[in-house]
Amino acid sequence: VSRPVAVVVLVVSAAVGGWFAGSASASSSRLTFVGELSGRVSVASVSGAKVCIAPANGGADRCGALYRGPDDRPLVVGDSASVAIARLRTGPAETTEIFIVEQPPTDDR
Amino acid sequence: MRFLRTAGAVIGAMAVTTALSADAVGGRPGLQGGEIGLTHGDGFTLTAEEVTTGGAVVDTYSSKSGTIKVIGRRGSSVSIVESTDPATGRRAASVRLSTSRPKTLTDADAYRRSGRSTVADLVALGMPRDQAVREFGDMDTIDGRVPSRAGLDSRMVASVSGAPPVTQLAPTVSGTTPYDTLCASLSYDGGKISGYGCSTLYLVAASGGDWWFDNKYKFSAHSSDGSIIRPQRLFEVGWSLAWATNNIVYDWEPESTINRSECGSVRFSLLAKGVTVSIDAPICPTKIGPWNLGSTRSGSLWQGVERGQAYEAAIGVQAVHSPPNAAASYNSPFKLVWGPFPP
Repeated sequence: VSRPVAVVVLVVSAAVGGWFAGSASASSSRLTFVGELSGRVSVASVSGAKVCIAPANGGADRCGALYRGPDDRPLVVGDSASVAIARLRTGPAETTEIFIVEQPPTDDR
Repeated sequence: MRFLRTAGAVIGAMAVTTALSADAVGGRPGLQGGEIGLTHGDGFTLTAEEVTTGGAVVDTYSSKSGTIKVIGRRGSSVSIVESTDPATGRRAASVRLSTSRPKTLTDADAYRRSGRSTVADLVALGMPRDQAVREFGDMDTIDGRVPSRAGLDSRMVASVSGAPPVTQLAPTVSGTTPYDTLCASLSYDGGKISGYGCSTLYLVAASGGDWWFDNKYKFSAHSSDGSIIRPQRLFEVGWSLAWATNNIVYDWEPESTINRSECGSVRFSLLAKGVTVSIDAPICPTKIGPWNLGSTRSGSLWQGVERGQAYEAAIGVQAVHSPPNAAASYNSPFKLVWGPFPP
């Protein structure tokens, strides 16, 4: 095998291997980003850890467990909220949707 | 549990609403039927009525399409609504059980004293006892442990997991006093579509008129349609528990949507007022998540395509604060959606 051909084969193999490794890494990720949601908090648990949000653009409320910054105050009903929705793998055949606060609520409601 | 994959067409939907309210006697205007009055029927009429040894009334309402049986206190009411989605052809069924009771210590203990239990109520509705114990045995204990059959007695109810309630109850009320059950059975299309569901309420703390409840609910339904071509299959199973104004559902499960790619056990639990309340059931694809959520209500909805003739379930738990200005009034809406598969 000539040297240029060997180099090409090596480069292609490395690229394919890298792509495969990247794919495998992505598919094994425990957390997958699935979208964003902005709207008003329609329901909130007393701890503020569970909320439902009425989308600003209409549609049915979406509910989920809420992850927020340590200095963020808990969301309460009526707050404007902007959250990222992620799918957390909680088992081999199970995922759970979680909300991550993107825009902490302000107190000037 | 056996799961068979089948194919079919058409999709259906139905809605049934059942309401049980203590002050709604059969003779009250707008109500008809038996001791559990019918407020809305959509062709359903009372076809049978009996009273259990515990004093609960079992009323059977039937129409050309189905049969609804409910068990509850005298003076309750039932409303039944059916519909078909013209766009999808799906039929949907939802059931609402509700009751209103005096907020007194004497009444708080009435259910326990009656000897009723979730399993006993389901048996009274016609569920085989073995199946009732297997599927709903954990509804008779607040922590979700399934009692052994030998140990299951109609008077056996709550056991506690975790620390005792923070607020002391009056001496006559146990820390996990079972407060009530709301149960119903549903059967459509000659029994091809059937289900049983219950809410079990536990009064875990009380101080004067300030009451705290930990509750759980389960609705288990399935199709027994063995047709090879386009059998009837479930698409949605939902159950919820709602309370009157000024009550506060301050914690609940499921809190978010859980997606499943295979069948497997799902357990929901929460710790409220020092007591853990939990429930579990096998849940199959596609997902189970919150339903009918609000400040006075919470629920659970399974959505997917029923695998074979497997039982599909909606389960959940909730914690409720009932302040002195809130009535001890609650209701359980549930729904089924089904039709031939594939459409």
